[in-house]
Amino acid sequence: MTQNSSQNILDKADAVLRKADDAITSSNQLLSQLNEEEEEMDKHDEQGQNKIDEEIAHIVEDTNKATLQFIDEVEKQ
Amino acid sequence: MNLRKSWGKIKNASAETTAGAIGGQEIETGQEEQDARVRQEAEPKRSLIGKLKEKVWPPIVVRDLIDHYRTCWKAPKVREEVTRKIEINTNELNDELEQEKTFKKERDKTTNELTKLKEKLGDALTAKSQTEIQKGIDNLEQKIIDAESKSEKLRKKIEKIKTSQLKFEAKIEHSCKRISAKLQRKIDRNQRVIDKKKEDVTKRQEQFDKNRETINELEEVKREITQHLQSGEVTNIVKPVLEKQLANISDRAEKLKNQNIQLQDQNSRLQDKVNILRGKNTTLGSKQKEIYPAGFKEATLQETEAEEEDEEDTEETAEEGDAEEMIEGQEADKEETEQNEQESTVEDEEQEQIETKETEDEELTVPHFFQNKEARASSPKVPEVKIDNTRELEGIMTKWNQWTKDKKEESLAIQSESFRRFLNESGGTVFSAPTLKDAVEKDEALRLLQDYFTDQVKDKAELPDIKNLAEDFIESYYA
Repeated sequence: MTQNSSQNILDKADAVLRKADDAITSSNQLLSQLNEEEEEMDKHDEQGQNKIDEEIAHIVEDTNKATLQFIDEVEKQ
Repeated sequence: MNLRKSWGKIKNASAETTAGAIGGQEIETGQEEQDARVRQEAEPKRSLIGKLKEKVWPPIVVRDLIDHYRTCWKAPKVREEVTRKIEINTNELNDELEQEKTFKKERDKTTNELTKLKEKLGDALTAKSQTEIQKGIDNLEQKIIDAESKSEKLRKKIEKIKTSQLKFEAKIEHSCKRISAKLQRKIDRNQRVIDKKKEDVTKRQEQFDKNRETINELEEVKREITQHLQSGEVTNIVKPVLEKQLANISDRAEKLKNQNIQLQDQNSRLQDKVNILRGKNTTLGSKQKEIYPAGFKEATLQETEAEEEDEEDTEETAEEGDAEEMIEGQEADKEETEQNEQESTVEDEEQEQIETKETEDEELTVPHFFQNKEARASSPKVPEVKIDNTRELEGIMTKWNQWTKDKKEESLAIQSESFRRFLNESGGTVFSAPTLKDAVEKDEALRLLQDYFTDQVKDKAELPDIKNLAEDFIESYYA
C-alpha cells in the first residue's frame, strides 16, 4: 500500500516534471525567440520605414521642383 | 444817306436862289409866258420832286420843299438859278445814284465773294476738322488695335499662367495623394507590427498561464510528496528518490516562476511598443489628413466609428498600461483584439481607398472598375446608407474583406470602399440579411454585382476575371 502510494506520487511527480520541462522549453523558446525576432523585425521595419521616408522625400523634392518651376513660369509671364 | 445829302444840297441851293431873288421880285414882265416856260423847264425837276416824294421823306419835309419852290418860283432868275442848281444837283445826284449803284454792285459782288470765301473757308475748316477727326479716329482705332493686341497677349499669358497653375495644382494634389498613400503604407506597416506584437503578447500570455498552471500542479505534487514524507510511511529506498524529485519540482517551479517574470517583462515591453506604434499611427493619420484632406472627404460612417473606437481604444490602452494584473490585461487584450479586428477592417478600407487613388495616379496595372472618377466625384461626402441595418452592412463588409484577404487579391482589397458604395447603392434589396438567406436572391445578387462591375470596368478585357470574382464572392458569401 505504501509502495503503491509512493509510486503514485512518483508517477505524478514525473508527469508534472515532464510538463514543467516542456513548459520551460516552450518558455525558453518564446523568450529567446522574441529577442531575435524583435531585432530582425525592428531592423526590417526600420528599413521599410526609411524606404518610405525616402520615397516621401523624393516626392517632396519633386514637388518642390514643380513649385519652383511654376513660380518661374509665372515670373516669366 | 445819299438822298439826305442831296436834299441838303437842294435846300441850300434853294435858300441861295431865294435870297438872290428877293431883290428881283419887281421883275414881273411876261409873267405867264415865263411861267409856262419855267413849268416846262421845271418839269424834270418836278419829276425829281415826284421821285423824292416817292422816297421815304417825311410828308412834312416834302410839303415844305414844295412850298418853298412855289414861293421862289415866281422870280425868273430864281427859277433859272434854281433850275440850274437843280440840274447840277440832279446831275450830281444822278452821279451819286450811279455811283451808289456801282457801289451796290461792287458791294454785292464783294458780299458774294465774301460769302463764297466764307463758304470756302467753312469748307476748308470743315475739311480740316474732318481730317483731324479722321486722324483722331485713326489714332483711336490704332490704339484700340494696340490695346486689343496687348489684351490678347495678356489673355494668352493669363491662359498660360492658368494652365501652369492647373498643372501645378494637379501636381500638388498628385503629390499629396502619393504622400498620403505613403503615409498610409507607414501606418499599415506599423499596424502589421502592432498586430505581430499583439500576437506575441497573446502567445506569452498563454505561456504565462500554462506556466502558472504547471507551477500550481508542481506545488500540489510538492505538497503531496512532503506530506507523504512526513507521514513516515515511506521506505528508505523510496525516500531519497522522493526527496530528489521534491528538489526537482522546487527547481522547475522556481525556473517557471522566473520565466513567467521574464514573460511578463517581455509583454510589458511589447505592450509599450504597441502603444508607441499606435501613437505614431495617430500622428501619421493626422499628418495624412493635413496633407490630403480631400482623401477623407468621402469619410463615411466608418471613420466616425473608427474615431469612436480610437477613443475607446485609448481608454483601454491606458488600462493595459497598468500591466501588473496580467489577467486583467489579458481580458482587455481579448476585447482589444476583437475591437482591433473591427478597427483594422475600417483602416483597411481607408487604406484601400488611399491605395486605389495612388494606384490610379501611378497608372499601375490594377483593375479599373472601381476607378470611376465621375462616380467618386459625384458621390456624397457622407454616402447614404440605404441598408437599414448598418451591422448587416458591416457584416457583409467583413466577409468581403476576409474574402479578399483569403483570395490574396490585392487588387480586390483596394476596392472595398467602392464595394461598400455599391452595397449602399443597391439598397436593402440585395445583400441585406433577409435576401441573403433567400437562395432565390442569390442569382439576382450575382447579376447585380456583375452588372455593377461591368459598368465600372473600363478595360473590357478584365470583364471575365471580374465576373468570375463576383461569382466567387457570391458563392463564398452564400456558403
